[in-house]
Amino acid sequence: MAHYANDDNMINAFKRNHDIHTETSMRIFGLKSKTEVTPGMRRKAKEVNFGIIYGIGAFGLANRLEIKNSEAKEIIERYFREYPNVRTYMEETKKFAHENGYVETLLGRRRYLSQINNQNAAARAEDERAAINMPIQGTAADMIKIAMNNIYIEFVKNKLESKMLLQVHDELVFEVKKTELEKVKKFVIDKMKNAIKLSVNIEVEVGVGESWYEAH
Amino acid sequence: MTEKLFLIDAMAMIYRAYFAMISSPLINSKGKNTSAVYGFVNSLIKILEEQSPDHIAVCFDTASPTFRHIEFPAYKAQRQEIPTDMPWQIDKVKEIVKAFNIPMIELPGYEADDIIGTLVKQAEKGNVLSYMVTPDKDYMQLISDKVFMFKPAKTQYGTDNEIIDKEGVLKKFGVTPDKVIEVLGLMGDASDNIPGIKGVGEKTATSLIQEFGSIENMYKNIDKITKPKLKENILSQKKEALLSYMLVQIKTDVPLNINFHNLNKRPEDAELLSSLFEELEFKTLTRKFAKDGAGGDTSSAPKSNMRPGANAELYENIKVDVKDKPRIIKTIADVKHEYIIIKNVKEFDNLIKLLNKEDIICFDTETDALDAMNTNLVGMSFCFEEFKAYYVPVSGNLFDRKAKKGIKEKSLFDNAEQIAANENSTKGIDISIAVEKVKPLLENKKIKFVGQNLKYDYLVMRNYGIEMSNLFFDTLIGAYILRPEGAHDMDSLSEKFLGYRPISIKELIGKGKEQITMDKVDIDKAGEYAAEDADVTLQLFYKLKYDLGKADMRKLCDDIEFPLIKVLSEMEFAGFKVDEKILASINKQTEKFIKEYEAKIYAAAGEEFNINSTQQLAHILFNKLNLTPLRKTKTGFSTDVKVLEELKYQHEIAALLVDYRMLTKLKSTYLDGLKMQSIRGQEEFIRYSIRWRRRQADFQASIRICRIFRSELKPVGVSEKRSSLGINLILLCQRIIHRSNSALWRIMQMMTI
Repeated sequence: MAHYANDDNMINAFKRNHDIHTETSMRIFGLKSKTEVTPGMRRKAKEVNFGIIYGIGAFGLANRLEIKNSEAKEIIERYFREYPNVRTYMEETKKFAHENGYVETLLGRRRYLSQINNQNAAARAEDERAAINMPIQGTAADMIKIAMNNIYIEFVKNKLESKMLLQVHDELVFEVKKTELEKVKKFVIDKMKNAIKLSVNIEVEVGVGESWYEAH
Repeated sequence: MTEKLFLIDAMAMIYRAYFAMISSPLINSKGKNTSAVYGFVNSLIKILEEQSPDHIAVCFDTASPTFRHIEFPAYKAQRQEIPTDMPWQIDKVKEIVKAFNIPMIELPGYEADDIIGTLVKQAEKGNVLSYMVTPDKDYMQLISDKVFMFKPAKTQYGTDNEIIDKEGVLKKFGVTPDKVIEVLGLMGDASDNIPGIKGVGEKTATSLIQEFGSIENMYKNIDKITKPKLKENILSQKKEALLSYMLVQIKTDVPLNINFHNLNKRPEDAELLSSLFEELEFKTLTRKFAKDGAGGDTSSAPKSNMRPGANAELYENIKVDVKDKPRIIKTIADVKHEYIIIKNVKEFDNLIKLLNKEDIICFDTETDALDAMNTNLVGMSFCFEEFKAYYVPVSGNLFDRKAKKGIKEKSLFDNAEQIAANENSTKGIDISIAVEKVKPLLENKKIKFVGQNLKYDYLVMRNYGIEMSNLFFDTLIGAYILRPEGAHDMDSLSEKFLGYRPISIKELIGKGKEQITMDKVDIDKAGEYAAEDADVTLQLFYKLKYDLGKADMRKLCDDIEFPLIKVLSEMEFAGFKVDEKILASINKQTEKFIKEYEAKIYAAAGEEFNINSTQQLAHILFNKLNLTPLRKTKTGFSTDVKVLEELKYQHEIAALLVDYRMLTKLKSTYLDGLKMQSIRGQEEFIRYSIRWRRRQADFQASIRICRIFRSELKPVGVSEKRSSLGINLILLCQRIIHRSNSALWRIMQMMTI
């Protein structure tokens, strides 16, 4: 979202290595310092950050956070005040979809939206939500695919016995031989970070353990 | 001789074409929607060629307000803004009509209806038959012995032009044309925001006019209306009725100063048309009007016998809703082909020699089960030139999958009679010889392999120790990238892109209980089917390659999607191990939760009942607890999750039921599913497959456990000594179900191991 919207406040948060949910929390609740952010506030901010990407409205947000509609509406308004380019991105994406009948990712993967110009408001709204969401989610999917391809090449090139086992959303699971661990860790992080060049840095966390659960 | 006058309501026809294709619009390489222009132009050309009108004109509305807007400001006010990809299409239509040299008429303050109404009434006096080209039912008021409505077929494939005459109006409306405005006045027209009388639909309006003859007469005899509610509405909304009556009336006295005799088409500017169509990327039309195409009306012979594939670049990217498409679909009986069955090792050697010289080969496997990790190879097919393909049947099982599974199935020898009868034909090449001979070919990096769902074929061969090298193009994935919506199986793609219906697998192996496996099918039949698959896939490859290139999507395929096939296949081949103790523990806890929820639901209902019976549940919810039913099904009131979600606000039982449903789903789909698989296969490996999700550029993992083959030929991929990777089931399910399913998510958070 930060890359697509090219929003200074958002990009700077990433550049300064701030936790984006804490940052959003401070902005939408009008706090001055990180220490004032409670876990509950951060959770709410996280719902807002993701909710916006999914094209959620005040009603949907109110439902998720179990707060009043009016309160949710206010939170969303403040969000857009703090991240003005996000709204611009959303409007421009919708406009593009209306004119072209599709949206696409950074790499040109398309999704056609057959209902985007429907006279029926509900059908249209659903495609508008999809229009906002798809470029972001789709680019994320492109990123993990590119990372997987590049990681696989490394496994083959280095003739390693370790293996890539699972891909779950933004997470990859490996089975790694102890002697190969450091090497694998290094190139996995590198390939995941640099799958697609964006205007913000991609953070990669690594966990190691005897089972997937332990690795978390 | 009687003359024919055609008057086209342009906007109505443009909108109709636009919305006829709205679910799969025609999009050109620049991403522009061209459906409306395309639909309009095809209808126009069909009229010119098939109806040979003596006089013709295309009539447009203008943006200026008409007398209807002035009388009734809300007229058409509810209409959504014009779709943004429409205005330029309207301009294009005007340019094209101009290039055809057909008169265009528009007059500020009047709609096309009024212009057409005036002209047909003028023509009625002469020896002329008038055709109003429009889908709009309002025009029915103008129909007479000499005036007709002409509705062109909705798509270019349709042949069913509809001509509506006086009888047609009587059939449609139950009244004669002169009474149409009376009916419309009463019922109003939602699409134009004409109010009519509230509560009066077409049926009531028709029967009222049948009884009284006119709105005026109805009010004179208002006491004859017996239904009190209806009478009340009619009385209270007299103003609306009279206004609507006036609005629906098409004017026939527009000051036009045009004589229809002067509405003549002059020779078109073919060169201009050709370049306009080229710009729009309507290839057939571009050629049709190109200089050497003889120009004009007769050069329209459809190039339907064109071969797909090699000539793919000549194909037009025509997309029409499938259900509207009475297209001629060819089958194997209509196409000249050469499908060769390899009967012995010598023939196979020769084929391998031939194949080694090729650059691109389409490859397909035939097996006896759908699960690539747990199947026997029955045959392989190859194709490198269209309409010619080879099938190599193999015999003998390396793994003897069925015997190991402990499932009693008819073995091959049960079919001894059948085999004896087929002694002349081959049983196929011995599997170990076939594998040995095909391995160097499939592993040759220089040969580009093409296939439909290559992951399947890759995994089948991988289980025979062969690692295919160059997975060059997958038609399933290519078609998905080009058009994510719709089906992507080979048969559907073939019909859609090639206009060819392949032999169906059901013809071969039957269906349901009677279904047999591929290894039991007569080799000659199997060979024709399998070779055809490879042939069709190769043709699809050429077509899709071209379309993807035109849409600028080759890079996405070549750089990301196609290389990923091997990565995913290898991941699936590796599999992972599941901690069965954890699986059992989660299962137990889930059962406990289900019991608890049952108790709570019984308490809330005030009695015990079968929660899984929708009828009993509906009885509890809607009879006993008196909740408001929201939707009906065939058998009663709906109790599906959506309904329950909404009932949450009425009664606590609904929320409990939502969670209960989630839990039972978790148990049946995930936990029991995994457990069953893990018992069937002795080794505790989960294999999972990754499917291409229909609409999202994302994966969806579905899990299953299979057993692993033990065999000399087994590749070293899966080591027996591998460290145990205990997969935490909760984590896995959480990730797969994801947070969108919030109720299940919440429950899973509560679980502990």
